[in-house]
Amino acid sequence: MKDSSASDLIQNPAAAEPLLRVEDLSIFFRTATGEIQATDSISFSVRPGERLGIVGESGCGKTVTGLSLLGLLPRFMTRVTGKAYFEGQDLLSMRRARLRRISGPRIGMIFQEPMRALDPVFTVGEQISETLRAHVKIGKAEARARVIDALAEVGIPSPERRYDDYPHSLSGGMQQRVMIAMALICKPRLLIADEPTTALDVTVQAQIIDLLHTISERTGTALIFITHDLGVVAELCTRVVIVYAGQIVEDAPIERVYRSPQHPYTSALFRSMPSLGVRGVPLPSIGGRVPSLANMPAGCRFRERCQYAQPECVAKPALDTNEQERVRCFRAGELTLPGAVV
Amino acid sequence: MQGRRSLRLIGHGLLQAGPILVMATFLVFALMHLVPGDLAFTLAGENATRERVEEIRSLYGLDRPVLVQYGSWLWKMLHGDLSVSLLSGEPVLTSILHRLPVTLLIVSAAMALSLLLGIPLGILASARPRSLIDSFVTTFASIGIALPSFWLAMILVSLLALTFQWFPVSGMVEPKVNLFDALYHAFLPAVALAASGVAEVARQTRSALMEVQSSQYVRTLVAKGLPASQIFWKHGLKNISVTLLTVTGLLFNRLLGGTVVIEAVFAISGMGSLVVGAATGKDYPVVQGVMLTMVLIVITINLVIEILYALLDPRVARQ
Ligand SMILES: Nc1ncnc2c1ncn2[C@@H]1O[C@H](COP(=O)(O)OP(=O)(O)OP(=O)(O)O)[C@@H](O)[C@H]1O
Ligand SMILES: [Mg+2]
Repeated sequence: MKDSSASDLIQNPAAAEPLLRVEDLSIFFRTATGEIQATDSISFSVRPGERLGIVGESGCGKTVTGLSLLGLLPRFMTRVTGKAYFEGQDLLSMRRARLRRISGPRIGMIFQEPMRALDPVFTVGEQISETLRAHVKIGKAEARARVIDALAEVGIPSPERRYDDYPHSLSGGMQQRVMIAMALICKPRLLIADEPTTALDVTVQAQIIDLLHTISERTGTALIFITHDLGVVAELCTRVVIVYAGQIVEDAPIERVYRSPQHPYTSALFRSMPSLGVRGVPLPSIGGRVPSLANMPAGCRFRERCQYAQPECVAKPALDTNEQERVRCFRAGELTLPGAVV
Repeated sequence: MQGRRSLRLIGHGLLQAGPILVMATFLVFALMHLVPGDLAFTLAGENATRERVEEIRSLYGLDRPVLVQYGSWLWKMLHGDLSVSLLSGEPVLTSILHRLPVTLLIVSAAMALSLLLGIPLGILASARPRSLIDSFVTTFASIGIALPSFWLAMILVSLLALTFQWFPVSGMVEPKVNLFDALYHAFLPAVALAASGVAEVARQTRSALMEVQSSQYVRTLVAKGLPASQIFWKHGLKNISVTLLTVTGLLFNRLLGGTVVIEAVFAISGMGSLVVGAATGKDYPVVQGVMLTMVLIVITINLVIEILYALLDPRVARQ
């Protein structure tokens, strides 16, 4: 890989064409009581080598956004509108057979619960090897050697022996390393990680985050990192998108967001995480609840919980179209909100 | 490595089967002694003299302690001496060896039908949930499970045997005399017996496959770009094989029990009719012999299933 240019791009992401450009992604679910909308016109870009964090409270649509990109939502009950251009091709309108040549070899994905994401009745080596063999013309023996290398690369000790282990005999951290090795075996340009450390011990979490950071730096693999944890995002990501109730409320480079958040929700998230070294009044959590998908308020969705809300907020605020820093708030710029020390 | 693992599993299975075997054989043995009244009287018949009763008592060893009786009984059984029928005087082992192939043929045919029809039906239904074929299979499964096999047997006889005369109404040919003819005779009984089996297998296959399809690991397989065919044939089938194995084991036991009724309806002289006849005629050695054979068959089948189970599912082998 062109390592030098990859790290250039991290320094100056705006210089590159986006690797992934998501436009107006809306996801609807058909339920017994009618159609509900899980995300509303999500748009964001990921440039080569960039590490994008997607942060928001539970249920705000992070997972479904990630899954929709690779066509992983249950088909018979979902409707997805919008575009997701990956290297110029729209993933959302692509046929399954073509998507298979991208999902896997060009875009890898890892999940929250590695134990459940691995097939319990095949060895981990076989599961990685079959991924490689599905996309690359390669003999079984050669594939095995490459899988063992890949296992070693993600920090699995004595990989030759682990190759023949079944998932259940590995610890959660090792299972997630296997998932990472599997997602990266074809050297994809983008890795989507959906809360990959939530199910793990704290010490193991840090190791996995380190690993992802190292790999991304070394190979220039771009990363979409979905999480609740702004602390992890600060360590790992170069850019962050904050989602609230299915909408993007803020999107900016990491230092800017932490130093001076523009959206009251972003600031509230910082305050709800005391471990971040908060300036301002510490609060255990944000008061109130995320509105339910079935009855979303028409105007600003954060209005009810926002201490800065004003009468104008009953109208729907637009997301600025400034490519580098976007915020969805009428009062952006006029408020000075507390952020966090990174 | 695989070979040594299998050996260990077999050893482990046998170890587990040991106590079950002792318990089951003891129960079969004790059955004789649960008969109300003095067993020697019962065995000797109603008009026997006192001397005859005492003779029977010492002949069958009934004057010795129970555990000793059990020990010597087991010893004789192990040497193939299942005693003789009180009614016909024929060695019990001979009658059993005579009739066992017939029953096993019917059960095997029913088993084969259940799996060969049930699995594809289950696959078809799961491929398109809530489609026409799925509703058809689901409905068929509910009916098949609820339908009493003797009722179905009588319908089949009146329709296919009496009206159209495609199949024999009753009777059986010994498999070793003419296997083809035996199969022909076994067809209707097997179908009657298999209806609930097909239904059960289809239902379990369908629900196991649906569970696999909605599992997170299948989502991973899709995400890593495997073709749908590989996901189904390689990962899907191996994952449901454990369920299928369990179903097969349970079904076998149920089919074996079901032959009692089916053999009566079709007037087939198999194990079922043998035990029914013996029970009504108070021919205890025969009842005991049949029970023992059935118990041994069931334990063996379960042992085999257990071993296959551990071979197929790595999570089991660890325990
Ligand atoms: N199959 C589905 N049918 C109906 N609604 C769904 C379905 N999948 C997700 N949703 C809804 O879509 C919304 C977004 O869910 P999603 O799982 O993306 O949230 P999330 O941001 O990942 O939350 P978490 O942080 O808890 O993982 C939720 O309100 C959820 O209830
Ligand atoms: Mg989620």
